[in-house]
Amino acid sequence: MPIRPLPPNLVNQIAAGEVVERPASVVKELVENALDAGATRIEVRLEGGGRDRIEVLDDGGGIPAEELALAVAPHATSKIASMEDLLQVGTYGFRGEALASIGSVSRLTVTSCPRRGSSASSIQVDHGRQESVRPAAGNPGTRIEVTNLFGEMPARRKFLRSEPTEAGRVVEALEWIALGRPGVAFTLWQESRKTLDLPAENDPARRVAAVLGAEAAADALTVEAEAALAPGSPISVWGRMARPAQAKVAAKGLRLTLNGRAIIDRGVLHAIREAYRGLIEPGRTPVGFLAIQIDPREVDVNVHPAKSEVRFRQPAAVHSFVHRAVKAALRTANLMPEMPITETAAPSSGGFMHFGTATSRATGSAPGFDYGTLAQALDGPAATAATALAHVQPAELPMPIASRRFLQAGRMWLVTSDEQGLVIVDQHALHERVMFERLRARTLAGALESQALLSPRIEPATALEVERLEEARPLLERLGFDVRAGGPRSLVVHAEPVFLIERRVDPVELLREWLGRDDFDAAGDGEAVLAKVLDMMACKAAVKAGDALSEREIAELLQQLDAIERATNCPHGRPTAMRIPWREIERRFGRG
Amino acid sequence: MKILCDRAVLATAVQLAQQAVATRAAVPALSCIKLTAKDGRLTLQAADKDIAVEVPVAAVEVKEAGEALVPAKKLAEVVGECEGATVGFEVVKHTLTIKAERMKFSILGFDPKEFPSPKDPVTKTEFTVPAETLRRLIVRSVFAAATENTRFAMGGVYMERKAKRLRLVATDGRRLVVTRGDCSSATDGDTVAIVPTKAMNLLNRLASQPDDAVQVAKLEGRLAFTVGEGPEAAKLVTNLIEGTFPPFEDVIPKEHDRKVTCDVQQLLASVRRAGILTTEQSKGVKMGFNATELKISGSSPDVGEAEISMPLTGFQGQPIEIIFNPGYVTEALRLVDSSEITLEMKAPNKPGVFRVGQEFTYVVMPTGQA
Repeated sequence: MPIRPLPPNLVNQIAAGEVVERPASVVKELVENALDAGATRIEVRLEGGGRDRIEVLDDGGGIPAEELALAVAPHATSKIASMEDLLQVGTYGFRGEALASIGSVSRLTVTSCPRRGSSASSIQVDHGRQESVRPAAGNPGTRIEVTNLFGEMPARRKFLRSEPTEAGRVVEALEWIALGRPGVAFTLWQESRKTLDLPAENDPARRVAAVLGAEAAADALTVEAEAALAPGSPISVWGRMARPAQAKVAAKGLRLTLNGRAIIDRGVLHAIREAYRGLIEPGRTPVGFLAIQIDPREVDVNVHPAKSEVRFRQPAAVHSFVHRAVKAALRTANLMPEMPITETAAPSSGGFMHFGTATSRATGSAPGFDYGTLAQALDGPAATAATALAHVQPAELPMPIASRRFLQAGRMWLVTSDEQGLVIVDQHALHERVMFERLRARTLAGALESQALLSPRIEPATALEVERLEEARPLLERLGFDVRAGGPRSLVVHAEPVFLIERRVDPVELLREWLGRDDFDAAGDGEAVLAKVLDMMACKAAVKAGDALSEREIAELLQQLDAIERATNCPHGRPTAMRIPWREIERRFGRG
Repeated sequence: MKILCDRAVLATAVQLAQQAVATRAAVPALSCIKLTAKDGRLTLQAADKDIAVEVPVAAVEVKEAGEALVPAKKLAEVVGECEGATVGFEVVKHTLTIKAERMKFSILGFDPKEFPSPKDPVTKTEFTVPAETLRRLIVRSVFAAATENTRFAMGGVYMERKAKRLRLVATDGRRLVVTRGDCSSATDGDTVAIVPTKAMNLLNRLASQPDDAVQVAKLEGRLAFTVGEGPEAAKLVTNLIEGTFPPFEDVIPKEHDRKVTCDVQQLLASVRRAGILTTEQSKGVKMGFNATELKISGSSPDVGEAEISMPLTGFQGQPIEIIFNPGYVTEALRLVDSSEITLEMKAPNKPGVFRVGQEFTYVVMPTGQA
């Protein structure tokens, strides 16, 4: 076959493959066009999940009749005119591809009325076949209708998923865009049902709450920071991040916009996850929304036709900026989750604590729990002082537990109170967290202390352990180990970490456990690997559930709950403390 | 069985016997104390799987001989609560009734036959040592024995007797202590054994009368200690730890470059003070010696730092800085009853040796240097 240029329509259809994949991408392109046209209200209507019909209505600037034909032609745009403009794109679109692409794979009708124009006009494109402009009826703004998507491309149409799936993706795309534009009202109709209604908001936090849902938005943390990537090149971030307890296995609860554009950026997502590390279980993703504003010259958005991926000029600087901003928000927050008490969660008999029944106070003295002492503890002077203080500075008071009275219940839980409620602490989880943080702080100051042995300790080992030992040596030295291979099947220990000995943990046992792990990795990201080993050390060294603690030990632990950054989650991400709000208790006692 | 005992004497004896009882016994009889009243005497017996003790109770009036086997913990609690000068015991069908002033307890017991009867009687005494000497050696060695159950037979104290010289050695792999004392009489030849730490601690309590003599006999795989004379003697039989004690002579440095003699109390106080602001994560204290002064400092990034100095006289050698776990140093200094102690060192990564004459040698490995 001789080489020939492709017919223009085929070129457009191929190009459309990159921009127009499914109804959601059509909606995204059309809504972004509407926003670029200055719309303040955008309405989307779907039929058959968008497979049958998509309609986008806006109240934007509109397109004059004489420009309509050009609007649906490829590489025609009003948004940029020169190479210069491309370097600092301020609009969503700029490639001039969207309408032409959509028109090449569907039946597209554009009806528009410029604001000051007296009449509307309309143009149709049917799978690339452009018809002539006709006068039409319509309000100021633009109405775009897409039917028969991929109607002449059975192969593409076959790849569309079920109606609910495609509709779900449209919702997702629309929400994402809406997060970045709180000032614009969005509505979505599916068939004749209104399924999304986002009124224009002055307060972006309200828009985030509307999109993320009440559960995630309750007590969400505000992330706000500003910096300069270079002189005269500012970067800022604003967002709302849900508390760690809201983290989900699915990643899509975390949305980003960059200069208002919905983006997916692995670097920025990583920065956010890192900030949450230790607060959420591994494999989960925090829920929230961050809007990053950056000097357009610092980013290349022209990487992918859908523009969901961007390329930062200084990815490392952006990463650390976002990481610091999110971490700062987490640090200043009181992250202790409130315990939702449902009827089923409050045992009517058995268990160590009874909620809600007046008789339980008199009769329900489970082992290790003394209600009399509890009452005394809660009425103690410390609680009163803190409550008084709370009136002065209600929001600023983190949780001064250390000075409080406490009880050890069931040899597992430490019970105390603060101004907001009754606080229950998991002793193992808290101790583990405390030691993890201390160890990490200590490793920053230098290698952990090492206790030399009088004579080397020779331990049998597997070939795998010996092999991994070499790789692990630098890290082991930081941890206070001096261990060498003693042949193919033994380890020779010359020195062990003081910390483990003090906590009565056999260092060799820990060492072998680490070397034998399936996910062993001594070479990867240094800090992450170190954190993993420190986590193992902390877990082994921590007091266990079932350990009876002396008053002094309890006091020290609770003091650390106040002192240690992020102490409300153990390194595995499980919570270390829960609060039962006073109002909940009052309600249960019929005082509410 | 029907007897009347002096309350205070009984309480002490029961407490002692209770120490031998296994904390988690598989057999109920091993969580019990056996009481035997005969020939005008009461004897308490208790055992775990490795150790058996026999504690005589003086000041008893036996009205009717007999035996009882009752849970040790309950017996100890009850006797501890009793008031008045005397306590009466009476046994009917395995139930022990305890009567004291305005109190009466009946503890359900077991058949005394379930208590393991002692094996072969002690035959040949290998050596005899004054109770006071034995206690001193025990107290100054057990602290360094490994608490964790590890290899090298280090969970016990190495006991070695050559002619009339007795040595106790203990180590946890990081420090090692050797204490020496003299026997009052001994057969020719040697006695070598690794004694469980628990047995040593019990023996320390059994040998509370300084003037008593302790006779030590070796049985098959066991050692038998008899504290005191005749029927009033307390007895302890313990299984020995099998295995070879690490070659401890090799880790005691033969030479040193630096040597200094310090006041024990002053050194103890200084190390203790320097250790106040250390934590589990930052344990070591740095000891800097020079001709005139010892500077001890301890710090941790999250608590703070301490710096203590004390004057030195007669420091021999070049200045040196060496880091020790302060706990290892203070534990030993607390047990020393002399007023002065000598410290020998070679290098910051080599062990330090604390000595009091020939009687006490304590080798400690430094920390900080991997």
